[in-house]
Amino acid sequence: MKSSILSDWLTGRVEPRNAKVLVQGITGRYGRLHAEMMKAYGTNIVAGTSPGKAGEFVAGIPVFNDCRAAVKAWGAEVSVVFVPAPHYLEAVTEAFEAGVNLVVGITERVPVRDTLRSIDLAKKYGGHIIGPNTPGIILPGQIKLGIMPVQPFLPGGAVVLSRSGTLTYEISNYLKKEGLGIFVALGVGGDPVNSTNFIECLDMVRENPHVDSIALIGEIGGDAEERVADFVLETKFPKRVAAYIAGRSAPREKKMGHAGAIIMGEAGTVESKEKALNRAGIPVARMPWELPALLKSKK
Amino acid sequence: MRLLEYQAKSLFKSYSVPVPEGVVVDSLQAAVEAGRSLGYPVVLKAQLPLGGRGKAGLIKSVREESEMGSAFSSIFGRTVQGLSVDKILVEPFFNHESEMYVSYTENRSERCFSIVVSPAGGIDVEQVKEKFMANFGLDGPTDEIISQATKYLGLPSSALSKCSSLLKALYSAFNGSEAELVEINPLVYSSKNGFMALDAKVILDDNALFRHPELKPYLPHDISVEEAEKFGFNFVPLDGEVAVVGNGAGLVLSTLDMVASRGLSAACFLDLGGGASPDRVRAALQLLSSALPNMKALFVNVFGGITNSVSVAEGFLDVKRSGYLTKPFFLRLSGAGELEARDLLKKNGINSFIEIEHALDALEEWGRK
Repeated sequence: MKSSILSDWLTGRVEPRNAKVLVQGITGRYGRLHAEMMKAYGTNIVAGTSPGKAGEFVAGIPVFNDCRAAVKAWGAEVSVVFVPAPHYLEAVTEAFEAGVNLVVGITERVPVRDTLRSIDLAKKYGGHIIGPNTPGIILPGQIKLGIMPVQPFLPGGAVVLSRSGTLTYEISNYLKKEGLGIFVALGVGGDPVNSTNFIECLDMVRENPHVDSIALIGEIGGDAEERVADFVLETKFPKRVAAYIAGRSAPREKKMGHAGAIIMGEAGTVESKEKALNRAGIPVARMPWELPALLKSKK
Repeated sequence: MRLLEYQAKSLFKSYSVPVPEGVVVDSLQAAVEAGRSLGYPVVLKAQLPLGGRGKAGLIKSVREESEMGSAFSSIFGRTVQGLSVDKILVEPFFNHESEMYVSYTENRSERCFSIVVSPAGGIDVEQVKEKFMANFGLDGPTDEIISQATKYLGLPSSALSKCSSLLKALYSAFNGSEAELVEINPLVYSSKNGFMALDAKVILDDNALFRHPELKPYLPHDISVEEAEKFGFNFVPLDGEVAVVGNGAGLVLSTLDMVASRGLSAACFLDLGGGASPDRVRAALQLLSSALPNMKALFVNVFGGITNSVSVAEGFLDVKRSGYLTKPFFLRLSGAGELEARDLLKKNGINSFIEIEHALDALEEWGRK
């Protein structure tokens, strides 16, 4: 596997604790709030950007007009993006061009074609984007890049991969109550197209010695969960995987909150996903609080 | 967002994709006039954003004017899946030699676009084995892909170049409007009239609409949904009895399933998004009471994180005092500040729950009464 920041972290080769992080859109209400909260968690936020705001400080973090200036001054390699959707593609482009290798796209409501263009960019630069429309990624006790609350996340050996934010918090909290800690929780995003998908994440944690199990949190729409099932079967994935899929009672052809959560015809139903996962030996919890028991049981 | 058929056809027409010259009507008189101007036979098609209209009796052929009254009244005003037919598209009837299927769609898993064509049109394409599919990126389909797709349709050689122009025009419509899907099923061909899109389906990328003022006339006006968007809520009206509210799309979706598992159905999906402040809670409850007059109860599931449960509890107290909350409600507040939030509500005579299962038990018990 080619080395990138995300793969270094997810394979367990590199501890992310000291990674230098940039926040794009740091002077907005949301960017400011979460820059402070990430910093409070111990994330090494070295700089922020906001056009025309160079020279300001947010929570003691220096603000620059653009990524090039911020990276030149502070050498950031990771960026968390809070800019509004119409500026998302421009922000991601600027980050990669300045030398950032991992972008976390918190921004919601990004047009699919902009997401696709940004994925081409990530490939060109040998980096990764998480999101858009993601709560971000947290390696408990190491680094928090995103908008998740910190209480539900204990350090440990489970990997939580999810299409939803609050469900991630809720289920991580159930894991915590059962004494299960988390190596990494990563939201792939609630959009139809995810810049880094479930399978790419699974492939990176495959041989990670710190990881013992995977909690997969899916929902209606698309076939990402079915593809995980095929991947686990075909590659004989070596770690325990258990899943929860939301939307069993959802009506067809209606977008249920997330742009990606929509059943089209017969495609994207919970039944279809459950059937595929079960065939691959992956148990599916009926309710979120049943997931910890499924993760604990022996494969 | 899915366009209605007549809107999709008007979009196609603006990209030179051939569509029948139809007339949209909302009264019998207008339908009769449309029949006369188009010439019989005509087809009446209910304008609802649903598949399977033929099977549901929402498409009727009318051979002559004497049949118009009964055909019109059998469709107009009917309610299907909560939607009522208030527009009918009247089109001339087309004789044709073959029915085909063509579409462009966003391919979620491969993170690209796909073209799908089949010589067997008019039916559900998922059931069709005989189809050609190819993936392509942001630069659009290559000439090679267009030519392969054209050949696959088994048309007479005289129709090939027209067909590839049509496929190119349809791609322009797909790309130009930033659609997630454009589909013609059936696309018909006759040596006399050439190609015609007898049906048209377009799903737009809602997130790209800010770049497309030209598509604005197509957007539906759902006042409750628009009101919800002002606050950054995500609101989907449904037809059950219990309004389901929470913070976070996945959590609300999951809560719908929990409510269903207790034998009750949801009256809506309402995601408050981040920051359930008193103002937002009040706005949400106001929205529900005006948009869902038939809701019988409210089930609220909030996981406190960045938003502390206490501020959500304060929102409820505020709303209770101002009298917006007249229906039975079941409140689960968990996560940050959960104990404090429960105590605060209790002191003010409101029962709430920390464990979701307890809240569901209470809801189920109410449902039995």
